[in-house]
Amino acid sequence: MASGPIRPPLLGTLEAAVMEHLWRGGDGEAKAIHSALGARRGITVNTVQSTLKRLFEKDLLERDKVSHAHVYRPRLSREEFQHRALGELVGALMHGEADAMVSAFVELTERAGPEHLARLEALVAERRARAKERP
Amino acid sequence: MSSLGALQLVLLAGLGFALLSGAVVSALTPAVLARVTPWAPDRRHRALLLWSLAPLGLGLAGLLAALLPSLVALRWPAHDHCVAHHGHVHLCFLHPPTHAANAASWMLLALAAGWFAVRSAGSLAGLLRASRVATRLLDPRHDDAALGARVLPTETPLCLLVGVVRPAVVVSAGLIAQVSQADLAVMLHHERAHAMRRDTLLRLLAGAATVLLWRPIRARLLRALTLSAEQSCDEAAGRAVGDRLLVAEVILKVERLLQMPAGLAPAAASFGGDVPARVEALLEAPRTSGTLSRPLALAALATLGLLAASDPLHHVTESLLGALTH
Repeated sequence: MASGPIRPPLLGTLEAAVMEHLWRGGDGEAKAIHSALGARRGITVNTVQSTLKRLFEKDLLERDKVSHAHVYRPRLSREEFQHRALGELVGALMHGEADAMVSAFVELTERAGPEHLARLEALVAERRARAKERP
Repeated sequence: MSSLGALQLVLLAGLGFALLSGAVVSALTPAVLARVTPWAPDRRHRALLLWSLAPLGLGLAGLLAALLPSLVALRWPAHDHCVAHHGHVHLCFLHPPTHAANAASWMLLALAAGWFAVRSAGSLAGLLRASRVATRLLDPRHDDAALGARVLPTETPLCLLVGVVRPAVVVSAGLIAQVSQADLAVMLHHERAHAMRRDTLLRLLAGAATVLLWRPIRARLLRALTLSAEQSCDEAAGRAVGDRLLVAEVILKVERLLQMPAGLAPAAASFGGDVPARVEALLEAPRTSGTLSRPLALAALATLGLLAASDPLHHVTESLLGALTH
């Protein structure tokens, strides 16, 4: 399957349901998706079409024109999507995008320089060795 | 027009006191940071948290003190002093200004409101972004009841506390695979200590209360607040496992693990964030905590002093408002 940037990876409820429907091999035409998902949600075919267009614009779907209608299919497998979404999630963390609501055991956005780290490791090792020598 | 004029004066006075308290607290913050640096982390954290609320407290106390004579006159009209002072603007609810509200003053207030709206919108957008990431980190499908944490299926070594109101611990599968049970226990104790202390919520409050400080000073204050919270939780983890040196070893181990994966490291930094300060503190003897009775007594004294000086403050405020609105 084709690969490309997936943004934003967080899907809305209907978007996730549509992706799940397509990953399970469901028909990729808007009317068929509406029959499968739309009736119990009380939404129109237009809403499903908008959702498909949005997912297409997010590069999550590919489409072919068959007769007068677009038929959609996933660009990525569920596993590929989850792997990439997780990668983007970790990337967001490492760039401090969640700092307001997340605290990390060791700061994620700044790294200790190698000399600093080696000096501290030596100090701690020396202190541990001294502690072991004591009865 | 008179009530609009009174509102304008109160808003202008509020803006003035907000800016003044921001400037005073900005000027005093380096001295406060130097003073509290040797303190035990828990006491330091409480002191810095109170200090971060100082711009808000000082601004409100100043405004209240300046309005006090008017408020007293409103309740006890016999104490109305305006009749004795003619010929200037009155910051008074009994004798509000009768002239039309000054357009330039309204413009000043609109500029302040605009600046505040832009700052708030930026902060809100950041919070929404953080909230979206937090929601995904807290996926209930990753809940591990035995560990008491969510386990994120990624190789990156992560141990996080996520959320503000009901924070939860999130660890990555990659971290669990690379550390011992004892190491993991240290990290879980550390993060649970943050949760018990409500550090994320307190940090957000401090961030909001210090919005009028000079930016570099604000960054220093919030950084010191974060460091004191981290060191408090390091001490809590050390007490829980009975080995402070182990906490230092685990911090260094996780720092080393975070340096390994290629491509994951963010913009390179050679100062190491909080790691050196945290490890060095754990190598020293634990400091005994203490109360904040002296700083609190000083704050109470300063508030009483402001209220005692309410008459001259009221008149100075009126003179300045008069100059501004004419």
